[in-house]
Amino acid sequence: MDGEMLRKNLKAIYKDVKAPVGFSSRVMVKITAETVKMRSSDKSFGLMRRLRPAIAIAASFILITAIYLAGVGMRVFAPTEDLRTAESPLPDAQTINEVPYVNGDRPVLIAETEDPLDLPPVTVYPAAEKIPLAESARTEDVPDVVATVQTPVSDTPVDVRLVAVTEDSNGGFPVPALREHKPAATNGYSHAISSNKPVEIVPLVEEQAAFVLSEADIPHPSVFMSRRRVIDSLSVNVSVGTINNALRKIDERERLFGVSADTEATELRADGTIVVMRSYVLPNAIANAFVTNVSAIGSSDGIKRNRVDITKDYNRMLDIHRDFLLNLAGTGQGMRDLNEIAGKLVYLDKRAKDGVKNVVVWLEDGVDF
Amino acid sequence: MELLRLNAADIVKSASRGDIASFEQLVLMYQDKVYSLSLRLTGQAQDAEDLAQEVFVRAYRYMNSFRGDSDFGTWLHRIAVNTWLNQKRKIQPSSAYSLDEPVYSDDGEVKREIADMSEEPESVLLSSQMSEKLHRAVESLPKDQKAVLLLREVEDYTYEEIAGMMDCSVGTVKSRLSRARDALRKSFNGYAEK
Repeated sequence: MDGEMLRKNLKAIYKDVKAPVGFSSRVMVKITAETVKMRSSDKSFGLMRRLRPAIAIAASFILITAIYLAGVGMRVFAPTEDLRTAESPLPDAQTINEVPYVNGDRPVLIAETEDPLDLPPVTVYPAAEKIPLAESARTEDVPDVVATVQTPVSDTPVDVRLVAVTEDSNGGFPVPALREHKPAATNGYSHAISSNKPVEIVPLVEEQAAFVLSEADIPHPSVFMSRRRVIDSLSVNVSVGTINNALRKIDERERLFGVSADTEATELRADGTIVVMRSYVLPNAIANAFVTNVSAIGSSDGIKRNRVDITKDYNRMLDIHRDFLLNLAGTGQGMRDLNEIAGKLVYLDKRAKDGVKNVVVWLEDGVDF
Repeated sequence: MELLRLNAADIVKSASRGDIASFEQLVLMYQDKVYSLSLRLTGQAQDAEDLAQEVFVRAYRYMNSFRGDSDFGTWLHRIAVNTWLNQKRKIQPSSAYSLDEPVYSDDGEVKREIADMSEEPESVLLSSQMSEKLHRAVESLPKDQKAVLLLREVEDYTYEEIAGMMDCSVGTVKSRLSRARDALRKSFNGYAEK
């Protein structure tokens, strides 16, 4: 085979292919997530970046990876029976603990936006890559489900949109169910109840709060809503004698405070030294005490505080999530992408909750104590 | 279509200033180009997507360092090749995909097609079996040789461009290309002898 023939044959084999559907959106989600994380870590790691650029780069990578990992393995949840969202608002002054309507033995879902991870468990079904659109139109035998959403709202009522990803009990595939809901909001909280009305897709308009019911990495439904989100963080860089000893000390402190890290990453540097990062999401009440205690296990250059408003970035991801949902309804494809974005939203939600601080501890070996 | 009317250089410039919307336009403009090369390099659709995504994330991260000396697409290809070369080899070595394996495109599953070159005498012998053989031979090449071969023979980059993309000399490029071609010839001679 001569050169020219080889070239022709290679070109024949390696024909141009198009990027998969949704590729650009997935890229932009990653980039947005990176932007958020970089901004939220800029100040915290500023000193580290000045002193040790390699570590700072590694740190950024680790954090970005952590965001990505938060999206891996996510599955859109589905209750044991079909979930439907509704249009009729609850009466005024209804609270999250006063679920007003349960239709017989049908399942009830209560979602509270203030703490989407503290929701009653539901049965999780395996995710399906493709959703037959025809299934989504089935409305018979659909049980009523109550979805109650509690969230502070502005003085004027806002339009609220509920978006649920459901599973058809017959077909075994999740079915997107989209509804528009306009709740009363006279007491500072908005609510929603379900109904069995047909699937309806209505474009969102600005100023609407967007709700998405989906599953996190634990079998609970989550509600994503458009609201102001701020990540408060505390970080400390600690130089220690040996990493293993330091980790044992941190483990002791974790037990003492009753906390555990949600992310740990290790970086082996070219000079053979090790840097370990552990991050936590802790209640404000113990965050300061914990980080102060941990900083005492070695030589620390002080605790850095950082506060970043991620509202805009979060809303952008929410928009992309909505686009995926609409695409899902239209084509039945993209469940994996939807889950991944949902995972990222959950990740950010967890860190931007009121009353918590993100604590990041960096351990660097090389100093004897 | 609207995108095509926009000046790519202006979009790149705007993206370099941190405009995320402009960067999104660049993603839309170059996603097929980047994904195509990624698929050729990795041989797996999922790996290709991961690589292509990483390319754009890195491009966004380092937009400031793009001086505009080369085409933006070439710069993206450079990132793709280097990212792929620097990736650790995965534990399962069989990254080759079957030519019978469908490609997932906008239109759903599409069967891979081998170009019909029956009108060209030289290509008469290129049966699907031979294509499969050639494909496997390419997949079995060392990474650096495979990269040079694909960039030169499929992507039509010049030796100089490839050298710039891979941070090596033109001589190294030629040497790797020569070794890659030899390996493929040997593979095919063996096939022909059978």
